Amino acid sequence: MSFSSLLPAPVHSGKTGSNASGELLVNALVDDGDAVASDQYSAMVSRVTLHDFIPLRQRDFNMAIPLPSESEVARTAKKTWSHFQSLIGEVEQKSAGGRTEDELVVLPGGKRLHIVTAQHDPLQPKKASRSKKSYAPSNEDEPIQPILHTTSAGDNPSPPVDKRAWQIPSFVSQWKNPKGYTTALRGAGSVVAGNSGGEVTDGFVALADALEAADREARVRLQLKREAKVVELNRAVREREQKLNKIMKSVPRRGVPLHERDVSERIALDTGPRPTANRSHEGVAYDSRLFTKGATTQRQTESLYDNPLFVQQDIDSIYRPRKTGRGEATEDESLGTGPIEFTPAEEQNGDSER
Amino acid sequence: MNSADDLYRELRWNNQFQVMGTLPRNLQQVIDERTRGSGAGTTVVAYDGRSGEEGQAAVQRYQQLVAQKPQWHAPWRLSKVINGHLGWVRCVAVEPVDNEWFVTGSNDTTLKVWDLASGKLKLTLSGHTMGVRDVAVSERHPYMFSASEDKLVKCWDLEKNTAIRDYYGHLSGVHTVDIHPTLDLIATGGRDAVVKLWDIRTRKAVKTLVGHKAPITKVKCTPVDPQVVSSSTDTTVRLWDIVAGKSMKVLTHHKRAVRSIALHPGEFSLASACTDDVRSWRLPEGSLLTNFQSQSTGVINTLSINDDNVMFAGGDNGVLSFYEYKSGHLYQQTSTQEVRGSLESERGVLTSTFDATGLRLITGEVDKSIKIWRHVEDATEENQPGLPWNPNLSGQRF
Repeated sequence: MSFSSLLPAPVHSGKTGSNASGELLVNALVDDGDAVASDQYSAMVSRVTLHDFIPLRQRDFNMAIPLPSESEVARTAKKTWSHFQSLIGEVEQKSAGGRTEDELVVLPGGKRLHIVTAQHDPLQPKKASRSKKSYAPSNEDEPIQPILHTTSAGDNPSPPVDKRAWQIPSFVSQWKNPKGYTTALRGAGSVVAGNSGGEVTDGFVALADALEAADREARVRLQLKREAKVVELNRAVREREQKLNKIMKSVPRRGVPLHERDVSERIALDTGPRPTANRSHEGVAYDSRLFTKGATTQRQTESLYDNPLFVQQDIDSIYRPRKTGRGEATEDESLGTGPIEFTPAEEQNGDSER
Repeated sequence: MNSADDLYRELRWNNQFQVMGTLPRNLQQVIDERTRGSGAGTTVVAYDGRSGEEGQAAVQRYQQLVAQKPQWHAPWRLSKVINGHLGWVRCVAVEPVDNEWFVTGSNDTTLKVWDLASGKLKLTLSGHTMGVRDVAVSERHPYMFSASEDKLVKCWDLEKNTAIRDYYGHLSGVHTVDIHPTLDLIATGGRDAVVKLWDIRTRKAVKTLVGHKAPITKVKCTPVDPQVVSSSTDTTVRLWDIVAGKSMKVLTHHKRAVRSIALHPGEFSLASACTDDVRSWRLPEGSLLTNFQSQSTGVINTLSINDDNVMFAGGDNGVLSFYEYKSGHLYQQTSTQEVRGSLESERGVLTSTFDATGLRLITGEVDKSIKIWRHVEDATEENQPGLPWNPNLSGQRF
């Protein structure tokens, strides 16, 4: 099976070569309503005989078909040569600009004009553009030729399976599909779809059940694992508490009721320096939680900006120097709310020295 | 009338079943049942309801066909494989005067000249910019002509080994070239569906033959009218009257693109081939001579005929078919031998030619090789009878 045999019949091939009664028909470009065409058709039919289809050599294989004789060849050659010689002459003349000899023209004023053919370098490439298209003349005056072969597909029928194999689906973009074309399912999906209207087989049911069971089992196993983990965690916490309690019981009681105040571990265990009433810079002992609290605080990313940055401040005064604030300069009364006034340099120096 | 029918039946029966001796049991049963049912004698082969004069003529023709026996030819075998081209070998031509060398043209844009006896490369000619589709060596000049897909036909001087002329004018790739046997003309045809006749010396396209409706596959020149014969993918073969510039006859028997035509060197006839159909034609008038036994040959790329009435058809799937030219009898069918390292898809004979003696067949193939085929030695009709001669009325093929 070749691809070309699936192609449509040639143009002008009409219908079939013979009708039911065995009468020979010639198919060609025939339109019943067209008088000229039907005339041509009948003329054509009269030209066709059965002998066009019967091989001559069937009767006698050794039928002699001699090569053309010398004289015949010579006669044809002479005739053709003279014809082509004139053609070549014409062509050459045309290429030389239609003028081969010098000309002498006498103008009305008595002036003599000598026309000379321009010198032409035979080796120079053609000046005329080669890309200029020249189309061959049409041969419409040629009579319609009878087509002496069948064009029916009957003698080479192609099975529908092969036709499907040659079908190429049109391309549908996965990104742009404004008209909503759909493509046929292919591969495994099409097999299921083609399974006589979604009928489910036993094997498919078994597979689905097995998959579901495996899934459930996996879930149960994960749940057990998670519960065991929680139990273990609780046990660890309880042990630690018990240990701490044990330690605390072993510590001698001071007058302080521990259960009412939150006391750091260090103090409770009496290992750190004790805060004294008269505090000095060297001896200050801070609760370690003051330092560790900030560091251990988990910053929630979603709560970073959930309240405005300057919610407590007067919006108007953000970019104004505050009277009560950080720098010394802002404490200067002279700044006030009025425009900034610059002071001479000496004064400023004096001020700074002061 | 009845006697004619009976005779025909008998002939068909003998032709089909005589060689089988005894039939397989299941077939025999069917036949027995039929004969019992109908009560008739041996009405096994149904005779299609042809009647009257036409039927009688068909029977007569069949008798005539069966009464004859085709000439025996020795089978062919591969004798040499030549590698060297870097592309498909599209065309081959043997030097006609001394039969000492042959030239091949290839899709790798080069022409290569090889020694016919030794198969050694003599010369590589480059000048075309696209694949070379056809080549012709002149008998009367020291010239060789090559047609290429780059729209050019080149004339090569075989004394200087250079291209000396370009024939420019085809609007598309040129597929074929042939030299007129008596005049200084070459005929070319190509994808632009016209045959152009060029004057060799002046490089002028002196005639353009318009008529084909599809690319031309092959052009051949003969010394008398029709001086140019062309085949085309529009399924026709045209015989041209080049003086009038019109086609004398259009052969429309073929159903598919005619890929090749070949002239018989010893008689004035022509063979043409399309897919599954090879026919030969008597030449001045173009009447059907022979239907070859080619119903299942496949796509045929090339035809060659030698003086000994052997016709070769090279298939696109690498099948070599050898026919007896006069009877149309297929006497040998082989597959081409693959070159090591070539793909399975590279079986295909693109071009072929017999050398001047007709004893060697040169084929150019898709696997980039050139293969030379010769007769099997000491083959006789007894030990190498070839495929059996089983004619049917292939003349009924339309």
